[in-house]
Amino acid sequence: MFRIVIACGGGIFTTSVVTEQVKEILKKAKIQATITPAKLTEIASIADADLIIVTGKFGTDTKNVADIPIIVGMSLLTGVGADEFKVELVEKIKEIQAKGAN
Amino acid sequence: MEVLKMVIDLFGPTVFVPVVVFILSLAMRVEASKAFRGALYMGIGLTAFNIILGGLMGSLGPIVTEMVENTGVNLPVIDIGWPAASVICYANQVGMFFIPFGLVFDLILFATKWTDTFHPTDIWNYYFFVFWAAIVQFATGSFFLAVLAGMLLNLILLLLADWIAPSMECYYGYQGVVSTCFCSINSVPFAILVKWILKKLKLDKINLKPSELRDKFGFWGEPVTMGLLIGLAVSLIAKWNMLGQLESWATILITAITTGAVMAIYPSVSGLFVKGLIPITNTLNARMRSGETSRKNMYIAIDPAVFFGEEANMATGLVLIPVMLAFAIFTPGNIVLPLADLPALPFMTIGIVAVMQGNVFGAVIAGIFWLGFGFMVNSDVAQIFTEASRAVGAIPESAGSAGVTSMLVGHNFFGWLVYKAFAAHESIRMFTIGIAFASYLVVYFFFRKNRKAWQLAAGATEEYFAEKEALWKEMEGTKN
Repeated sequence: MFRIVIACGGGIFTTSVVTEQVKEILKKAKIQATITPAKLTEIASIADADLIIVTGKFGTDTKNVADIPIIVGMSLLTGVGADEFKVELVEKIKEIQAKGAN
Repeated sequence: MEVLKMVIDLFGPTVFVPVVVFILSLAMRVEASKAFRGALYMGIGLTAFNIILGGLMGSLGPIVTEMVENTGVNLPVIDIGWPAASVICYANQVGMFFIPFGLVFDLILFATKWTDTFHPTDIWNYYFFVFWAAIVQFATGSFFLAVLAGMLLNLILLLLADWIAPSMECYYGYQGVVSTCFCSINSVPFAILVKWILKKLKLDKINLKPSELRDKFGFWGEPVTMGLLIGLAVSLIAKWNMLGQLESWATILITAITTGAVMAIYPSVSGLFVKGLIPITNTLNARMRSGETSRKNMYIAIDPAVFFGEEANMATGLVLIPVMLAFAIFTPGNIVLPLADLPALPFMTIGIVAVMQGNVFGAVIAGIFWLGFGFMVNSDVAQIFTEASRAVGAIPESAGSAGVTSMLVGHNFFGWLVYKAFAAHESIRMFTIGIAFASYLVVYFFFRKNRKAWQLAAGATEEYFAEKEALWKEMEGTKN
């Protein structure tokens, strides 16, 4: 199963907002995945995930132990550019899944 | 009124909070099914939280008491973190009342242009000031005074937000949003003062490399590690004279694992609780961004989590974690044991870093004093906050005499000053409350008169104002 980590400062509020919407996107795209909340301060040491989504535009340059790709999900929080993000997210997941299959 | 009070007491916050939130969501035109699901989760989150908190307090509470008795390390008040403080706050009468009341109050303030900040989109963070209103009720027994105190703090908060917004926009680069979380911006006036002093001393040119600091101090920001280590340290100190016994070691290790475990499950449980307020935030956010409201100066409130990860901010906050642990031990009169809010310290430096426009050296200096002295005000109200928490059933009997507080919520000078004014002796209370309101009004009018100068002092740039002016003219042009 695909493993997503969604992270923000406290791993609670904006993380929950984005999680709700990612769940809906995945449901529509028929992708099965687990979603775990996290704090930005934990990103560096997360090893067991396939994709990390951060809710602000910061933190994408963090060096992660397992080189997990990090993308910005801020648009799901504010609504600005949310439709583009939906497409981008599904494409990204499919790309990672294809890589894993090889 | 009597009947209503009886019913509220009988059903308790786990039933009433969801009911209030559900009705409010419907009034804000949230879809009924979404509103219902959200409200339900809020009640579930509240219940779950009491269980988690019970686990932490039941394990760490007696140890902390033992530490105080056996060694004289006097830190009997456990920092249970902002997620717990929020739950306790909203489970309180004033907290419950302030969710709908504060929302309406904020809508009026924005519509009348008393403020340029649209606060209701950050309704989740109301507890940062409602906390102080709740303890005013505990100190005075008056619901009316508590609500009045909450209103004054709400006004002060919005003044700070209007003041820092351009600077935050310049530095963090998010357009048209501002943090209205009290813990993130209550430091703004102090940070401006420190910046001015550093400039006079010609120390404003020193800078530190934020990315290096962030990587070096990253360890301090890992909640589980911090939980384990602090649980271990406290129980080691508590059992210092009994280290020869096997039982002592069992207690020490069990306590460490328990504190680590609580830190690990905090986000999941709090995640349930916040679900109740998410539909309201989303609906209001969508409405504000649909472009119906157009004003030259307008800032939409947003949760500070989106500013948290900025390099200089994270570096500043992480460096301050070990510093604050040292302060907790050495600040005279401090009784707060920092724990759950330590990894959240970068929330408290967001405003300071904006004022310093990313200068980590200046931000750390300002942060050390601001947060260090914060222990004094926090210690002063810890006991009454503990009573407020007991009243909503958040602390189990087994916790003994240990108290609770939160660093993010309790380290707040404005909250403390307002609390002191409202909780003053009855003979002078009218007078002190009057002074509090008058002081706010004076500062408010000076700010409105010298807006741009104040915002420049807070770190905004001249270019920002020029750009905004040009953009506004363009918009005016297309309208005609």
